[in-house]
Amino acid sequence: MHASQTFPAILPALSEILAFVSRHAERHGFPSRRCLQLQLGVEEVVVNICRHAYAGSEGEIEVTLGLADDRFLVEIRDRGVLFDPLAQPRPDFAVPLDEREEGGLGVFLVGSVFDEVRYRREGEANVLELIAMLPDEGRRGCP
Amino acid sequence: MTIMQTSTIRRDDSLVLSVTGRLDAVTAPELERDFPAAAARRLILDLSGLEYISSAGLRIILALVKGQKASGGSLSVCGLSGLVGEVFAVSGFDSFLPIYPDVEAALAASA
Repeated sequence: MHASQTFPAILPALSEILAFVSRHAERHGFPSRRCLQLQLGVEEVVVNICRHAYAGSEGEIEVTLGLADDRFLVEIRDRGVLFDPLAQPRPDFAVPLDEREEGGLGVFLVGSVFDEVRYRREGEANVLELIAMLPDEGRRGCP
Repeated sequence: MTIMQTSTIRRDDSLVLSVTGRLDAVTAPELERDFPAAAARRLILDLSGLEYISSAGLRIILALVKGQKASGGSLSVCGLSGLVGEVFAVSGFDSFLPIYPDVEAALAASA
């Protein structure tokens, strides 16, 4: 199974992107609570791309959904500036929340809802692979 | 899919702001725009009807907390469930905000 769709890298496209991912996740048996978690992870990635990848000029986000063995794969690709979210520092939980630097939290949430996150730079593209174990194999509760 | 609604009820000197639906990167700015800062000394955020929240939503809540603090007021949160409760927990929001099971408990605590 492979489904791929390209969206403009703008915030108004967010709900369409999340609906696309969630529809497929549901079809593969993810319960609604888990679908919401997956939406959260995808939103954080998409919002980062919309805000930073294209530095104010127009661009696209390509979302490809697939299955591999017991995994549901969400591949998110942009052709913006090099950005490896996995290289970002973890939010400092020792600092009181209202004094913390902005950002960082979104990336942290991506890692807490997906079972695995992989980044690679492929030519001019940032490719982020978000992996969720299919429900029958290893259903996860809380992030 | 991207829908958020708010309603407010004044109870004694507290203002209960109920947010329902989804608080994401698209709707969170609407909440910030629609809701005047420091509208009440005691602000209670009722999230029992909230299905979804992302870091954009958390940021708006943080802004509300800062606004309340700056004006000498307070903010508490109630009605966390499902994904919203999980996100509060993993991001540490449940450790610095007073959290109550429901509006009545929040009102009783702030009375």
